[in-house]
This record gives sequence, C-alpha cells and structure tokens, in this order.
Amino acid sequence: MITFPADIPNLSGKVLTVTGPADPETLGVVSMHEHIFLDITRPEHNPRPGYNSPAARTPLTLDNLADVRSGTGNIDNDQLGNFDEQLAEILPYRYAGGGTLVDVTNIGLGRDPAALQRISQASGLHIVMGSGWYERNFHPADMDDLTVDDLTAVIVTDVVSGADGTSVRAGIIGEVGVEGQPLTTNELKSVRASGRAAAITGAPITFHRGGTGDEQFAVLDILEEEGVDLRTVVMGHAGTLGLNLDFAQRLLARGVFVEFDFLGAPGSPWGTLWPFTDLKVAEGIANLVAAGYTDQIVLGTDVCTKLQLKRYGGHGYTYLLDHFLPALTRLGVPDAATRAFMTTNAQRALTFSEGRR
Amino acid sequence: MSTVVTVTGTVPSDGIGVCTIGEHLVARLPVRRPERASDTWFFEHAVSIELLGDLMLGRPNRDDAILEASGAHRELERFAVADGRLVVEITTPAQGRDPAALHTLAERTGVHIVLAAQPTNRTDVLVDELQHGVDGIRAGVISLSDGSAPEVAWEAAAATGAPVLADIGGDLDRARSLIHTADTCGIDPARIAVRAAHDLLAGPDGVKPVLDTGAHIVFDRLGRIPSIYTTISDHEIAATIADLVSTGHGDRILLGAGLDRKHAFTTFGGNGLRFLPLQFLPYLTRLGVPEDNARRLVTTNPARFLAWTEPIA
Repeated sequence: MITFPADIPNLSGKVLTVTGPADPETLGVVSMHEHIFLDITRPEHNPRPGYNSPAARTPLTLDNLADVRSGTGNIDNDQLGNFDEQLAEILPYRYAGGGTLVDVTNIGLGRDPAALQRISQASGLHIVMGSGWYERNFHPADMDDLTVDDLTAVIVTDVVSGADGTSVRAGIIGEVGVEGQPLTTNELKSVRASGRAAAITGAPITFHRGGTGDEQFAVLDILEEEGVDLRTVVMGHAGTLGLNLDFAQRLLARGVFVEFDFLGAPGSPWGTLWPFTDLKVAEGIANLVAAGYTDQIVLGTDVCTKLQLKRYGGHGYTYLLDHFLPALTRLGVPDAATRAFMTTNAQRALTFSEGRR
Repeated sequence: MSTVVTVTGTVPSDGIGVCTIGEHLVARLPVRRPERASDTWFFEHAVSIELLGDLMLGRPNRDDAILEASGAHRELERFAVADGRLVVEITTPAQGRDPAALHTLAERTGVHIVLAAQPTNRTDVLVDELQHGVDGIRAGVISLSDGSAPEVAWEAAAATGAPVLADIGGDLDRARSLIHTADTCGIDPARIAVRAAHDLLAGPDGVKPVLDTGAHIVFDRLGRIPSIYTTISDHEIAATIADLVSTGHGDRILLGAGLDRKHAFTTFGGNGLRFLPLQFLPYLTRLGVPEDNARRLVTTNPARFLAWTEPIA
C-alpha cells in the first residue's frame, strides 16, 4: 500500500522550481539537462573500480588534467560541490541570456535541495530539481527489495512535500537511468515507479537514455500503462539520433521530446576520441528540423564533471548558448527553431499536467 | 645501413621505435592580436587552467603560442613513458627554431629529435644545414611550406638524400604540381610526405590522388580535443586510415599530433604526443586495423621515410 502525502496539489499548467511553482513563460531560456551539485563517485556498496588509487584521490589541477580528460578516474572530477565555485560557473549562463537550469541530479547522486535553492536565489536563475533514480550503478543497496509502490512513494513525496527531508520540491522525475541491453528488473521498476508518480503528481519525466534502440519503446509502453501523457517525457542523450531518421521518426511519433546534451565535454571516461562529434549531433538536429520535428527538440550541455567547468579548463554552462546554437544557425536551422528549443519547447516539457491525485 | 639524421647524430632507422611527425616543441609562433577590449585582455593573459576552455575553441592568446623548453621536456618524458622514441620538429627560423635547445632536450630525455631545414633561395645553404648543420646540429628533413622555394628543396634533396615534408595548405592541385616537379628533378615521390592530410578529406577524392603518386601522407593533427568547430574528427581520420590500410595503402601513411599551442601539451591538459601510442593506435585496432599494421604507421613507415637515401648524382 502506498502512503502518500495527504494533499497532492494541482500544479497543472505550472513549472515547479526549487523556489516554488512558476508560470512556464517566466522561465526564459532553459537548459534542460545540467548538474550544479553532483557526486558521481558511486555509493559505498558499489565503488567504482580503481577509485582507491592515489591517482583517483589527487585533486584535479593542471598536473593531472590531461590524464583525467583522457579517462583516468578521479574522485575530485566526479564531484561538483563547492558553492562559490558553482555560483561563479552558472552566473555566466545568466549573463549570456539564460533563465533556467534543470538540474537532473537525482537520488544517489548527491542531490542537494537546500544548496540548489540557495544558488537559485544567489544567481537569480530558476532551477528545477530532479527526482527518481539514475542508472543501476547508483541504485540503493536494497533496490532488489523495494517495490514499485515503495519507489513511487519516494518520488511523490519529493514532488509534493520536498526532497531529502527538506521543503524543496522536485519539479521533474529524472534523469531516470535506463541503460538496458537488457532492461533489468530494477530498471523496469524505476521506470514504472517514475510513470506512476508522474501520473499521480502530473510531473514531467526525463530519461538518461531510456534504454537502447527498441528498448525505448518498451519503456514508453510502461509509462503509457501507468497513464503518462508521453508529451511530457524527455528522452535524453539522443546523440546522433537525427542521423537515423527512420528510428527518430518511430520515436518521435510517440509524442516525446528528444534531448541533445553532453555537448562540448573536453574529456570523459572514454577519453576524447569518440565515434561522433558535436557537429554530427548538430547535423542530426538540422535533419529533424527539416523533417518537421522542431517542436519536440530540447537541449542541454550535461555538465557532470569538474573538467567541464570553465575553472577546470572546460566550456562551462554557456557552451550551448555561445557556441552550439550558432553552429545550428550555420547549418541552416532557422532562428525560430533554435529559440523554440531553448524556450517554448523546454517550458512545455517542464509544465505539469493534470495529475490523478 | 639506413640512418636517420637527428639533432644528436645519426641513428639506424631499423627498430627506431614510435615516431611522431610535424611537431613544434620550442617555438614562438605567430598569433594576431585581436582588437576588441575583452579579447585583448584574454590575449595578454598568461595561459592558466581557466583559460583552456576558450583556448581550445580558438580564442587568440600570445602566451599559448610560446612553446618553451620546460614544457617540451615534460612532454617528451611522457612520450617516452608511452614508448615514444622520435619527434620530427618543424619549427622554422622565423618561428624561433632553436637547434641548441632541441639538442639539449634530446640529450636529457633520450627521445630523438629531427630538426627541419627550410629552403630559402640558395641550395648550397640548405645543403650545408643538412650536411654540416647549424652550429654542428644537423637538420634531418627538408620542410617545404608556402613561400619556400620548391626547386631549391628538390635540388637539396637530390644532393643529400634527405626526405621532404611538404605543407600544401590543403590544396590538392599544389600537391600534384609539387610532386610532379620533384619527379622531373629525379626525386622519388616516396621521399615526399604531404602534411595536413586531414584537410584533403573534405574534398571529394580525399587523399587517394596523393597516394596514387607514391608520396606519403601525414595525418599530423591528431589528438585535438574536439568541439563544435571540429569538422574532421580523429574518428573520421581513423576510419579513413582503416579503409586505406585494408586497401593496401597502409605503408604510405604517417602520423603526428601537430603540437603548436601550449594547450595541446599534456602539461596544459592536452592529449600531447602520447595520444598516438596510447589512444589512437588502440582506436585503430578497435576499428579493425590489425595491431601490427597500426603500429607500423608510427614505426616502420616513418623510419623508412626519414632514412636518408643515396644522393642522386
């Protein structure tokens, strides 16, 4: 039996930020997938291999930046926690015309509701906070024992009463981690609980991948079974989806948003040599626009490690506005389309629907 | 026995180890001062970690273009740890070429360095640099770039047997015409390596027209950290190489990192010289290039190209 907070408010038509409900059009320019406070060093019951080494424990500086960019595991790199540093990183986003950051850090990733509320007030930016569970390596130790209803109750409480014992409420469910290949029992529970909580509260959902290939359709089927309107669902990390129009059309036909993120990262656990570049992602976006899907596209940079911050040699939270959007323009994407990605689409994606309550 | 001419003397080309071609280790490279006030401020600021993001996106900075021996020393040490054995350095006198500093670096790090000589208008001067050196430090390769006299390069190459690196600025016609004039001077096209091969990939025929002449090509900008401004990525180069190797063109391909800014050095967060052995070769293998073939791109191939031949009488 699920125990819910007594009153589930009707937030239909509103966006829920860390400082309370807001009208969608007040959000301005929105980056849909970021992390401001984050700890991806993994929970104690599932430590990342090699994270006891001296190299992993050395703070991130110029001395080890090349190593960490090319994939050497580093604890400091995996933690975004210094309030003053983070404030200095997000202010340029506001100066560049940004209005809202969606921090999709959720349970198990060091989510910090109080710090998010404080930095929202300090920066003047709207911030929307995440809920639910990230990918399986970050699931709690007792995930096997938790039921869908157990998980649902946690998300509903995050959205209705406040997260982690605070009164700061989550405004989006995600990034819900679904790696798939194959979809695991716990991933499927997390997906179903996200859908159930979304149907109850009206909150939108955003996915980390949402499965691989056709698994994404199985994930969306589950959400529909739970009564979710797929027009409030964001499929993140879409990468070069736009270069595979057949698959993209099947996915977009379900009504979801697709999100292009993880842009401009100067390093990663896989180094800097990847099968695709930001330019390929942009070319894919141009394809989708030409095919008529402008209204289903949102963007983010997915800052999730220190080396992406300006202070640590990265491009920070402004790369999207300063460098990626102009590239879309050069590829022939109309200004009205890029404006839609950053404003009306994102605002719509964050807007609560009528919950079942 | 074939030998390569390095700043510390000749070394046998056989078994020379991992080489990288087309680097600046010690140099003061030109960079234009911007006009807008905030850009001027950035331009004058010493390179530090907070500047790296913008530097990687191409924002001009004076200090970024000044490459000092201390940074090069650390770079060569890290290259050596990754099995690196030889660097072809292409800095010109106008860019602050420093043979004595390169000699010291080679001695202290154990990494062989090949000095490049640029043809001016006198063949005898070039030949002298190759045969006797600058203060006794010999150049081991002729580096032909826009503005230098090709006929002087071919005469010197014929007189000495030194190999020739040619910068064609991505212009396929220039490559064809250079190789043709070399041929008429009796220079085997295999003694020529065309730099910046990645620039040719944007064209419809790619690098094939150059390879068909028998010349080498150098992919000499590997390991740049990608951004939205990256048009030809390392992945695309790797895929091209995999294709060329599988069609029998593997023995004409050479590789380099093309260090020309502080931020490309590992000391400033870049992938540096070690990218070739540590990242790029394994990536080629993942794309299906047999490990031995991949390794030959940075060992046997450069050794063959860099080894001096008999002078043409």
